[in-house]
Amino acid sequence: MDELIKILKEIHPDVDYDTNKKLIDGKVLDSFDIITLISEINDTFDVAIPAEEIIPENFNSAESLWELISRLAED
Amino acid sequence: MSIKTKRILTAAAVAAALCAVLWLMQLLLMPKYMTDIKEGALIREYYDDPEGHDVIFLGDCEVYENISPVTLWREYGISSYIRGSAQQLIWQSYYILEDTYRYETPGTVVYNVQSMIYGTPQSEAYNRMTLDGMPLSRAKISAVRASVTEGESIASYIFPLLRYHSRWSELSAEDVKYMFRKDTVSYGGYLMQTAVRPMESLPAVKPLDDYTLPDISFEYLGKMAALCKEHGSELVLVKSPSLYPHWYDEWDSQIVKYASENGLKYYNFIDRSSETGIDMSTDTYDMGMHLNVYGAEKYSSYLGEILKNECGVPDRRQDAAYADVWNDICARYDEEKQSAASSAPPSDTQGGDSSGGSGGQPALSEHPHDGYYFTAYNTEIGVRCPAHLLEKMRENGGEYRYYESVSCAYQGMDMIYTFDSFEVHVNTVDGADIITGISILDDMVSIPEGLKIGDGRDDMTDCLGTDFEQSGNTYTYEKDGTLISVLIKDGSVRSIEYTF
Amino acid sequence: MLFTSLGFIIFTALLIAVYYAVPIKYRWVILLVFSMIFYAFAGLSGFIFMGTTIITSYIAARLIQKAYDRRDAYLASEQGKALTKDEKKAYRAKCKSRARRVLVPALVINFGILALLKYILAGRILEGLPFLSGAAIVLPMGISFYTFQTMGYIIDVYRAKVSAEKNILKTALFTSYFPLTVQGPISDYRYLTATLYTPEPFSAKNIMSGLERVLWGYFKKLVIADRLAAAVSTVIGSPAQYTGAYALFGMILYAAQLYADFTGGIDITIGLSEMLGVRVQENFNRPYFSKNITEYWRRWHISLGEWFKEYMFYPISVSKPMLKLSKKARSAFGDSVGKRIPVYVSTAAVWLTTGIWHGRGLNFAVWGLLNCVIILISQELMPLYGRFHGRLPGLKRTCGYRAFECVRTVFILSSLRMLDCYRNVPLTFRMFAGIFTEGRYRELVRGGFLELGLTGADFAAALAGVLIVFAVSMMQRKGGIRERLAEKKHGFTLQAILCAIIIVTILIFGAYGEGYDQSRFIYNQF
Repeated sequence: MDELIKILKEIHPDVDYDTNKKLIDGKVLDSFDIITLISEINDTFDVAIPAEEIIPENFNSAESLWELISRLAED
Repeated sequence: MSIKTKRILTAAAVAAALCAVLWLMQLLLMPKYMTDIKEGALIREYYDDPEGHDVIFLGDCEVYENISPVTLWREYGISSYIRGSAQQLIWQSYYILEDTYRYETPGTVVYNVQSMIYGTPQSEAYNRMTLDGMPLSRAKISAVRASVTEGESIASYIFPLLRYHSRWSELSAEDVKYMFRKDTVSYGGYLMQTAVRPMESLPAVKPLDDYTLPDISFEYLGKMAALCKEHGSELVLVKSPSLYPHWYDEWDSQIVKYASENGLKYYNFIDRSSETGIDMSTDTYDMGMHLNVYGAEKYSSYLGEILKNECGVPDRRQDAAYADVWNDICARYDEEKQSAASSAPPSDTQGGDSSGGSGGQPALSEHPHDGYYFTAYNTEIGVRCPAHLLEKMRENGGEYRYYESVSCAYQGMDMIYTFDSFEVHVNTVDGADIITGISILDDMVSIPEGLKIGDGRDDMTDCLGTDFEQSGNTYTYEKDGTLISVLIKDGSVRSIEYTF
Repeated sequence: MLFTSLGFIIFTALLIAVYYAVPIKYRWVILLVFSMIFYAFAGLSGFIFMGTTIITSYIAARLIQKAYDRRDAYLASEQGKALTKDEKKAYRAKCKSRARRVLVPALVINFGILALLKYILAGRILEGLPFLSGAAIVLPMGISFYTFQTMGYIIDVYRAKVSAEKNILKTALFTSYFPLTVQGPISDYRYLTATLYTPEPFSAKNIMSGLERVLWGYFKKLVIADRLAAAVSTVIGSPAQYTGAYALFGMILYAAQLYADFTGGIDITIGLSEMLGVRVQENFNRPYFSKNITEYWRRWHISLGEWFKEYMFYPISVSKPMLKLSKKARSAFGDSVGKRIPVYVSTAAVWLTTGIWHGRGLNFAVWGLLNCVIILISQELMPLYGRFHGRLPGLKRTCGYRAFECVRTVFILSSLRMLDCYRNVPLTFRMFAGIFTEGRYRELVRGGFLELGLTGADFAAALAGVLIVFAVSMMQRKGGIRERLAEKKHGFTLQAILCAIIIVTILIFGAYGEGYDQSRFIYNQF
């Protein structure tokens, strides 16, 4: 989780990822950020996030994103 | 009241107000034809007092400019009305007659056969002037259906606002003044012309490819005859004494044949000038196309005699009800005629003052070599060349006769220069006079390619090649936007024309 | 049938009457019937292609769904539960690839038809073929839109985002729903079908609000777009004659025309749907107020951008080869390059495709790639901008700077659009350069603009229309005007009066009918 926050901080240093639950709906992350993020996650956790998982529910908060990573790592 | 009822009522009220506003807008935006192009007001005017007529005239400018109902009344006590309009086509005449029967049943219906030559709708502007004046009826809708040109919608005749809405930018005081009421511009449907412009010469008569009058004209003539019969009226056919456009003998014989086969009276007044007394040096306002009021009175006087003696139209002069109406019309008629006679002759040309439109101007070229051209009197001319080249021809010894032909209601003017063996048509396009057509008239001249009247078909292909489009007996060649049309009949060239 | 034809208005009036006469359960059937009638007006040959799309997508969606249903049933069974984790994973992968074996051919067939018609047959390459006479070469109406929309649906089924529709007639309606076939929006399956299959019940609010929207669309189309069309086509039609200031003027007019035409058409689509109780996604969000091109593309033709993002940009950028490539690039050129690889490659692919989607011809491809370049450059310049604005705090919020940003966006876009106008790449670049080098500004202002086929009155009417649209856009920043009006005390009456005023305005000041084409010059003399 900390590693994930670190990746996110690199993209947008000024966002508080513990409290912000509207990363997509609040237009914090744009499509470029999402791609960068997915590529970083792939690098760090060796988890490939498929296109169909790119939905607001999975990316709106660091927490839900972590859940997604865990679930994909599990499978 | 429930919200629902309230809303329905509100919507209904707003919809009613909307319709009222649109109706007012329509009244405001429709052309009024009160001071300019009065032809457009004729059809509607009839409905102000649509009864008490023993004779109804139908047709184009050859009725509403050539026949004076006032003369018919004064000399024969004939109560008549002219239901004519600019370039009224025969199916329009038919439906106007059908509509007229909704209001009255005249004993005699007179149709002027000039418009028999048109088998298809000619122009939207003329359609409008004929049809907009009819109140909404089944006859009107049928007339619209038969008349619309490509791209016109029937709905825009039923709701003319759809047609005239764009006039918002050209509204004038006249549009407000005549929104609800109209002046009477005619005298029993007659539009008075008081100018005198003598006929000096007429353009050459050109041979036609096909002299057969369109089937549809005879179809509607038949319908018209049947309609008259049904209502107990007599249908009489006439050809007015106007000399231009030329009325071909081939056309006349078809009418004569039809009339005799169907038991109709047909009078051709063109060759009766000795009897009518019409003198084209004083009795025409546009060089022989239409009669002025003096000519119209002579023609009417002659026509009235026929109507009275051969068609049995009654004399109503002793009937006070008729006399009251006609005395008013006569008074107005005399007033206009006198004021015109006492004032200086008004300028009689309407054309030539093209209102400087924008765009679409054909490129003028002094040297017509790119397209087909023609040489005479050391001058080369072609279509789209400026008209001043004709003056150069004159300086080089080319004599010409000049003729102007104005169409029924102003839509531009043809200027025709007739030289010995060829004729040149000039029109004003965007303020400039340019040559729009050249016709070869006889075998004294040949075109630069070597072809002349009387040559055979092989001569044509030798001179101009085989790359032509054929339509009937006419062969058309195209070169850089200019056209040469060659008419070949019985194996020899009958006419050669340049157009574009 | 054009939206602006009398026939369309009668058609819609008839539809609404019939639609609300039947029970809500069957209203979608009425929509299907009318959509088919609408489509038939555009020519019967279109049915072959649309029919193919409907049938193939229906079958594909059902087969994919069946594979997933069987998988779920198996995994839920005793036998399935007994599998080890790896076995389960392998089984899932097998099912997925089975689904893919259905999806791919369906995509190939449908995009193949689109490509074939749009890029090959529409061109001259096969013009000589005997079995394709003139009429058949005309592109079937809306094929670009409905193909994308329906392919979006089967990909959604493949992604298990939605489940497949069991009734083929409903799939047919989703593909053919007529307000969308003319120019979109390319609608998301889940969003559209929520109200397309079971619409909202009749309500005066929907009718009134939808009607206002429809009329507003007609206003934009008839008063502005159709009027300006004549001048735009004059300028574009003779590039040699209309250089310099004229090209710039044409560009500005085209920006207004295109906006009014496209958003007006979408207003009619969405408004009409609202009257039918069907919710359609917005396709525009006041795009000319965008700060930059990236934002503009999030606010203009939204549905197309979303489609490409969803079904092309993400899949490419997160695909395994791409991630591998990115990894390799990182080790070879360092983090900053490696990180950019997926973004650059997918952006370029998306924009190239977007360009080609708009039409055949090099100009569209160049248009797409230039968009891509501008977007990527402004992305790279972000830090620089940040520093610039850091030095001048407050500038960003001033009205003047906001206006500058909007004008800049519109200017860049209009420049790009010249490719779409002139349809010839070198010519476009020449014309664009001419704006700065050829001058002729004085000539244009001193009456030159009146030589383009429009009168002074026409320009005045169009300008008034544009100002009204601008004013309405400014008002919309505080929320929807219709909603605010409806909340007022006599909201319904006010709305009805507003509708009536718009109708009168359109009927008088709209550019339609005989007065606006062949015969107008005749009536100038009246």
